[in-house]
Amino acid sequence: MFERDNQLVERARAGDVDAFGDLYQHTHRRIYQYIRQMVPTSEDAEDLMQEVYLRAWSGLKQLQANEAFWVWLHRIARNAVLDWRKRKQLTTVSLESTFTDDEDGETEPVEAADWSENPEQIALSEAMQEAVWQAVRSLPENHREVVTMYYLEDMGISEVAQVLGVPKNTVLSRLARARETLRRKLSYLVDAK
Amino acid sequence: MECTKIKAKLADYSVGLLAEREKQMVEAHLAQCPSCAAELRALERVDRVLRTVEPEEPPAHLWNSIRARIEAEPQRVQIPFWQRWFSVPRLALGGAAAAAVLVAIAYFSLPRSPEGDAPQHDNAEQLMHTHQMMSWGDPLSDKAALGVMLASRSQPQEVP
Repeated sequence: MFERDNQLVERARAGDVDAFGDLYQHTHRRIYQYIRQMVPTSEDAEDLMQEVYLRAWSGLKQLQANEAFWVWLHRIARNAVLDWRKRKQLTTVSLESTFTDDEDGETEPVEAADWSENPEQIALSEAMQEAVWQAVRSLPENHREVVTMYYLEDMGISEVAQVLGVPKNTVLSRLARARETLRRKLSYLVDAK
Repeated sequence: MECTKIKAKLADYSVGLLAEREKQMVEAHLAQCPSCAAELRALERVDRVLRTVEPEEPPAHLWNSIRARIEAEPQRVQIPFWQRWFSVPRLALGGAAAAAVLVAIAYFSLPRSPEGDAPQHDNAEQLMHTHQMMSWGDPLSDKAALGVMLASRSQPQEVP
């Protein structure tokens, strides 16, 4: 994957838009998950996706040879989100308040999950999934980032640490705090019946 | 260790953040405390719930929009280094070649004296002076001086 991406990066650097399209196909789901969790609406996420990939296209020459394309891209996405927030804060209310429900309380209860049939697996209804998203989006930003990368983008702890530029134990600590918060918010889903 | 303190460590325990000694103390407590064990299960279920939620799909049209914006930008022309090496002096090389052709034409169009190519100019000192004066202000004066010299050489031949 890394080798193949490197070849695509070289072609894209030479102006090959199709090669850049392949890089987009390899990365866009992950990057979209991240951005979608960082901004309140899917329209904002779409705008930011375009901004991220245009920034990447313009800045391909700055990508170091020993750096994975998608890790580099993730940093661009992170910076784009931070810039977006600065712009929004100048004009509207803060991002946190656009997401937050009752900060420490539960999200609005939906039907309870049934863990009795298979304690290892759970099938979530659409309403349950929405409740989980809502709970995740109400997390503090640095916890939400880690949860999104670890669970939705399926990144390892080392990779998350690399993108965020923090030690692995910091990532684990944020993950632990996020689990505690979500355990409270989703108690109707995770408490034993 | 009492339950409150153990429960405060369960999230760290669940992500593998505890040092070995603390980990053993928590595990010893969990083995004999159903309440703390239930709390740990709830935390582990958060993990399973998060692994179960389906990610939102990005819109299918997104790449077309990005591609259109890339293609609307001014083209990034990638020139290989060897072409770049030649591209800057190409004008200079062309100019030099044109000058050489002109000099060659002028040289071969001159009528030769049957006695040989000995210079006919009888005022060499004046020619050198003119050449020096021109070279002060004009980097192309060599060519200009050459033209002056050639013209002055050809003058006696034009008079019958």
